[in-house]
Amino acid sequence: MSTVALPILNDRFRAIDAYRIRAGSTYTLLPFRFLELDRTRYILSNFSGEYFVIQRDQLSPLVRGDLPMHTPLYNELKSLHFLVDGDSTVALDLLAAKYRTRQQLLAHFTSLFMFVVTLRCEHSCPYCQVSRQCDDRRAFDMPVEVAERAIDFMFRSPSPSIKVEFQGGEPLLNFDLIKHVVLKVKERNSTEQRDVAFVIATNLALLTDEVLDFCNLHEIYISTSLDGPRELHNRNRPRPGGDSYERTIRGIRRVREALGPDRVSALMTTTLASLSQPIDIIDEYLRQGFSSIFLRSISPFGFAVKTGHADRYHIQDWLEFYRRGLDYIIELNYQGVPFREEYSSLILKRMLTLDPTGYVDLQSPAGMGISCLAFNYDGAVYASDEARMLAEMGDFTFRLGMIMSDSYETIMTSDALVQPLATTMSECVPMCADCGVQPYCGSDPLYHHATQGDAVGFKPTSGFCTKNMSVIRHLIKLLEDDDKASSVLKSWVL
Amino acid sequence: MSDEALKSVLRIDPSVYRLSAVKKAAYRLSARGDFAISSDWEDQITVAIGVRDAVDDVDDLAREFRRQLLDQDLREEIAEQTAPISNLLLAQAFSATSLIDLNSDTADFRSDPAGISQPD
Repeated sequence: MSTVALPILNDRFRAIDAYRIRAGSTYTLLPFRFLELDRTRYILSNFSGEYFVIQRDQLSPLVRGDLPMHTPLYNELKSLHFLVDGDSTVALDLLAAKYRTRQQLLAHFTSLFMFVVTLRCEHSCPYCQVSRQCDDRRAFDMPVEVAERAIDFMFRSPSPSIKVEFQGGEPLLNFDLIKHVVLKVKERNSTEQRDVAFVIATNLALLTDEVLDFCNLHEIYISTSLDGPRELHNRNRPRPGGDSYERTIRGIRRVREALGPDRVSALMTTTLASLSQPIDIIDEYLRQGFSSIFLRSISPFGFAVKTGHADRYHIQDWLEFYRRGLDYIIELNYQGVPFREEYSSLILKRMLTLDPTGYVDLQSPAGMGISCLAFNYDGAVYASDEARMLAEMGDFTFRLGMIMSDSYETIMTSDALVQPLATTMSECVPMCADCGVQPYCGSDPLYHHATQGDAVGFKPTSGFCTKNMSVIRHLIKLLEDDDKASSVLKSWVL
Repeated sequence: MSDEALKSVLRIDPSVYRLSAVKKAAYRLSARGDFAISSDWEDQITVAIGVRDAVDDVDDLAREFRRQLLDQDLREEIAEQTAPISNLLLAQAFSATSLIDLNSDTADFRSDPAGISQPD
């Protein structure tokens, strides 16, 4: 047999010794954070947002370079980029690319713009932050010139996609302005060529055929409020006639008939009265044909604080409500009913994919201003919807400027925006900087300012921190310890 | 219950634990207790621990502090070990050009893959 081909092979492939030398007998740690999952385990998370659960007695040997190499544990940590040996440059390049992907929304900049077309509302919900019972249109409606200036401002954002959300009060009380803004934006976009979407956040009580026809023509989505079964919803959302629930349900059906089944979504707010009935609330969403629910705790802003609603339950009460609700939803999925919990889905997406999600509350740097902006009816520009709610209580900390007198540059580089963004990045602040769930959490300067009087916040007593650490730990335990629950949760995001 | 029953004092060897780890452990538990950190005449770190709530157990809090101290010291060690890579990763992630040359540590210098021997 001829051996002529062997020298050529030897040229192409290096001798086995070369790989032995490169692999070496030690490994190098890559940056990671950790947090106690329970008394025996830790959650590790790294640059690319990968997570791994490790036994308590394995962590110290890992950090001190004593972990036996080429064991299943070692290989898994290596494949998830918690350590490197030998051919390290490929892993570093991949890790940097994943990190950049997770931060991609920063380059897109602001994409959600809220137009508060009026503060007037016919409801008088005690937890509502902003609404006004008033017949004087001039007092609380956005003037046309303010709206047009806001449109110009909006198109200064480099974002390739723009979402215009009409907020109130009840925005349908100023439907003429909504029509004007939609037409103006579409006209402008014929040259801008952005991916534009419109949403009206409405209680649906004032829905008319004219509104539906316009929404159909311009592909406008509807976001409404549904707090649960009739009694709970009407108790939370009083209006003249006490028929908020009936009007909302009728409105949801009309929107689906006129615009299509997926053009209406609903949000609920958890009040004290909601805490004991997560199952009933979820059943109501199922009855109304929704495929998901967002179990939201009450925002500690505006009238919710003034009327005492934000203080009526502790975050631990909400967590118990959330866990009961999530258990029930997972059980529904076991029984073949596809249904999702949205807050869990958002966090799972951040844990299991490279999708940063764009959810404003769970970002670092914070999403205020650089992900969303709110144009108030009076021409004030706020860093978020919650920022204008805070302003209704007399706290103007997050008012960035006035649309009629300040430029885009002045507003977007204002101290009111840059200062809180720079000082609250969770990569740098005490406790968050080395927290194992940091990649899945956020900084939320507005929450901490409103609840603790400081944008960074004191994390050992922060309700935001307690809520998110508990939710993330709970989800990781389900992923790790419960195969059936894990397959359901993964099906929501993968 | 006397004030003494609500307090525990730990002495920590700074050659074993970093002062920054002591401070971070105290910060993490500061919702439960008060921590007075000082150094004594033997250059040992002294931590006087007091519970905030009289129904809380100071010994239990001191045990939790020691656990947190171990964790914080490990975190400091990870940060020290990985600081250069962390900086490189951030620079690589946000730079316009690649700072990591995938060929640099495998190529033969005589083949000059980066062309550095060529005049500009």
